[in-house]
Amino acid sequence: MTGRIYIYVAAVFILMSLSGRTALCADVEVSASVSPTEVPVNGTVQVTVTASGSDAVRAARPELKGIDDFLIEPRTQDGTKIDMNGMQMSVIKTWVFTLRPRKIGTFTLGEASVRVGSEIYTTTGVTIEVVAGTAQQQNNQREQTGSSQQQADRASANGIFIRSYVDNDEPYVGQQITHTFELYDNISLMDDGEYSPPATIGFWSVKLPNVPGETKIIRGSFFQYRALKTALFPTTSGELTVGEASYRYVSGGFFAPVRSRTLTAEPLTIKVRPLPAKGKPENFSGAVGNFTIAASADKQELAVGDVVTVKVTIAGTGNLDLISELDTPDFSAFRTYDPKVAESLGNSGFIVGGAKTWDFVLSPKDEGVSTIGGFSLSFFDPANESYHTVNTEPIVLTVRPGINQDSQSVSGVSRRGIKDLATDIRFIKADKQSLFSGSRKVHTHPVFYLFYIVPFGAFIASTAFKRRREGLEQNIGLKRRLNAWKTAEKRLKEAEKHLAANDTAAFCGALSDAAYGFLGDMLNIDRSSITLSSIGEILRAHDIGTEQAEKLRKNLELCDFVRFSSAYREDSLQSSLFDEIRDTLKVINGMMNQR
Amino acid sequence: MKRFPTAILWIFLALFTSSDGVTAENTGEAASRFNEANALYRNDNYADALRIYQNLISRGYADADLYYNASNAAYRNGELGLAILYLEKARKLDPSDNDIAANLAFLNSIKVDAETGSGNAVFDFLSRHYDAFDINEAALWSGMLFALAMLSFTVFLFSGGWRRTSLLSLGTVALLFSIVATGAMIEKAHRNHTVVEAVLLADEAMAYSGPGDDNTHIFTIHEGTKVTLERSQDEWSLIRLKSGSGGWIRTDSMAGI
Repeated sequence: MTGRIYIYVAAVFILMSLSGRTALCADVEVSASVSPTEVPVNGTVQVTVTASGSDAVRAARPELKGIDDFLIEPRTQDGTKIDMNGMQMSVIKTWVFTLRPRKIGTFTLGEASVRVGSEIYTTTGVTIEVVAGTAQQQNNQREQTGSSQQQADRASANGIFIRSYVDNDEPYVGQQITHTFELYDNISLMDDGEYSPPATIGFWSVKLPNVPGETKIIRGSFFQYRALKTALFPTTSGELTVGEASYRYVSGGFFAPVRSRTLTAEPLTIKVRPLPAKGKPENFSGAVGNFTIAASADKQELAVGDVVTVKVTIAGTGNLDLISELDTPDFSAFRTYDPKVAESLGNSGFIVGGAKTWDFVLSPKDEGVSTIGGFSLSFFDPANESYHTVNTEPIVLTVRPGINQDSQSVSGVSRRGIKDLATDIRFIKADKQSLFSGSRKVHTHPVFYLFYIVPFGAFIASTAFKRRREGLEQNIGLKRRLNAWKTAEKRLKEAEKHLAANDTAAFCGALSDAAYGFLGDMLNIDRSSITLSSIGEILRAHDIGTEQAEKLRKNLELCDFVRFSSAYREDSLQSSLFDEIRDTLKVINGMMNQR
Repeated sequence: MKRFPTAILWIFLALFTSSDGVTAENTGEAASRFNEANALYRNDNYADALRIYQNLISRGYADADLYYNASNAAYRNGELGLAILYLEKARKLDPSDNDIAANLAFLNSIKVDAETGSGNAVFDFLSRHYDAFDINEAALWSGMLFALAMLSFTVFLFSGGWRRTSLLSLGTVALLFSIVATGAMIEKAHRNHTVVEAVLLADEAMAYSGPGDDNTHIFTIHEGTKVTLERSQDEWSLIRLKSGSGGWIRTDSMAGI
C-alpha cells in the first residue's frame, strides 16, 4: 500500500514538472521593429528585438537574418526589465541593433531568431527602403539624433522627456513635412496626459494616425515611447514657425507624491522654399506631390438635351486638398453645370494622399459627334524637383437629335440654365366681331356709385319709415289725427252708398258718424263728448273759424232732421247735404294739417 | 366663383365704359383688320401681323385680345421685350385671363434676367392672386356686396325670429367683404395713378448711380425685364427692380406698361 502511494506522488510530481516547463516555454512573445523604414544610404536604421513574458529572462541574444547588405555597428544596446505584479513576474528583454546600409534598394529587416531554452522563436521582417539621401537630410537626422541624445541625457534623470521635430525643415511650398512629437517616460503616470498640438499658421495640416507605443532602451533604461505625427503643407514661402507643443501629465503613486507638470517643446522654424519658376507650366495651379489623372464618361451615346456625367479623378500623394482648379477642355458645345467635387484623403506610411474627383454634368447642344478634350494637371514633384504634366485622353460622344430640338431652332431664343423648352407660347386669340376701345374703369363711371347710393338710400328710408311707424304706435292721438281723414273718407263713401240705395236713415247715420268721428279723431277727444251744441265751442277752441263751425253744426242739425222727419227726404236735399258736410270736413282737415 | 362676377363685369363694362370717340363702324372695321392680322399670323407672316396689331393699338383700341395677339407676333418676330410689354398691357386689361398668364410666365422664363420672388412662398402666392384681381372686379364686388349688405339690413328691419339673425349675419359678412374689396379697389386705383411700370426693350441696359454714363455702373439689365419708374431727368430715368436695387438707365431703352 505504502509503495503504491510513493508511485502516485512521483507520477504527480513528474507531471507537474513537465506541465510547468511547457507553460514557461509557451509564455514568451518575441517581436521585432525597424525604424525608420526609409533611410538614406549613409544613414542608420535600428532593429529592436523584444522578448517578453515570464520566461523571457532565459532568452538568448537574437540572430538577425538578411543583413548581408548592412554593417552592424558595435554599440548594440541590451536591456532587461522585470516587473512583479502580485505573484506574477513579467520580464521584458530588449536588444537594439544599429545597422548602416551598404547600398540603395529594398530590403527586409527584422527577421530574427531567439532561443529560449530549447525553443527557438522567430520574428517576421519589415520592408525598408534605402534611398539616395541628401546631405541635408543626413545632417538633420544626425542633429535630431544628437538632440535626442542630449535631451535624453538631461531628462532621463527625471524619468520623462519629449522631442518635437520635423523631418524636413527646408521644404518647398506645398510639399509635405511631418511633424513628430515624441514622449518617452519610465515613471508611473496617473493618466494618459494631455497633449497640446503646436500652432501651425501658414500650413495646411492633416492629422496622421498615432504611432503604436513601444518600449525603448535609452542609456540602459527602459522608456515607454509614444509619438504623435502631423502632416504639414506650407502654403507660402519664407520662414514659418511650428509653434510650441506641450504635454501635461500627472505622476505619482501609492508611495510617491502626486504632482502635475507640463513639458514644452521649443517652436521650430521652417524655411519654406518657393517653387522654382523655371519650367513652370502655364496651367500649373499649385499642386505639389506626385499625381495621376483619369477621366471617364458614364455614356458614349446620348440625345441633344440629355446629360452626360464626366468623372475626372486626380490621385496620388501630396497637397490634394489645395488643388482647387482643374484645367478643363473647351465645353462650348455643351451646356454646363457646376461640377460636383468630392475628396477622399488617406495616408500611407505617414505620407498624405488619396483621390479627388470632379463630376462634370454636360448637355450637348447639337447633334453629331462631340469630343470632350483631355483634362490636364501640372504638378511639382519635390522628389526630383521638377514639374510634370499629366493628361487624359479625349472622350468622344455620339449625339442624336433631341425631342425638343425643333422648338429650339424655331424660337431662336436661348437662355442660360434652361433645361426644358418643350413648352411654347399659347396660340393667338380667335377672330372677333368688334374690338373693345373703352377705358374700362368701372369705378370712374357715375352710374357705378348708384350701387352704393340706392341701397343705402333705401336702407335709410326704411329705417325712417320704421321709426315713424313705431312713433305712431306709441302716440295714439297723433295716429288718430293722421288717420282721421282717411277714416272719414271711408265713412263718407259708405254714406254715399246708402244715398244711392235711397236708405235715408242709414245715409244720415253714416254721414253723422263721418263728421263726429272725424272731429273726434282729429282733435283726439272722445266722440261721445261732441254734441251739436258743443261743436262750435270745440272747433273755436282749436282755432277753427266760426264760419266753418257754424256751417258744420247747421248741416249736422239738418242731417238729424232728415233722418227723423219724412218732410226733408228729398234726394236733392240729401245730396246737397252730403256735399256740404264733405266739403266742410275737407276744409277743416286742410286747416288742421296746415298747423 | 370667378366666372359669375366676370360675366356681370362685362355687362357693366359695356354699360359704363366710354367709347373714346371710336364709333361702332370704326370698331367693326378694326375687328376686320384684327382678323386680317390673325390670318397673317396663322400663315407665319409674323412681321406683317405685328404691324397691323400695332396700328390698331396706336389708334387707341385697348382690347386684351389685341395686345395678346400682338405679343405673340412680337415674340415670333424675335422681339422678346416688346412681347412682354404687350402681355403686361393685356394683363392690365384682363388679369384673370389664363392664356395671358401662361404666356407671360413662359416669356419671363426665357428672358436673360430671371424673375425673382420675395422669397416668401405664402406672400408670393397671395400677391399673385391679388394681382390677378382686376380693379373693375374689385369695384364690382365692392358695389354688389355693399348692395347685398344694405338689402339684408333693410329686410332685417322688418323681420322677426331666425330670419332676423340670419339677415343680420349675412349683412355683416357682406359689409366686411365689401370693405375689403373697396380697400383693394382704392389701392389698385392709387397704384394705377402713382406707380409707373415699364419693360426694357433694348437688348441690355446699364444702370448707373446717376443720370449719365459717367456715373458708377451699378448693374446691367436685359431685354424684357420689368422695372418701376421713379423719376426722370433729361434722357435718363431712375428705375427700381423687384429686388430693391435702383439705378439710372436711358429712358428710350424702355416703354411704359
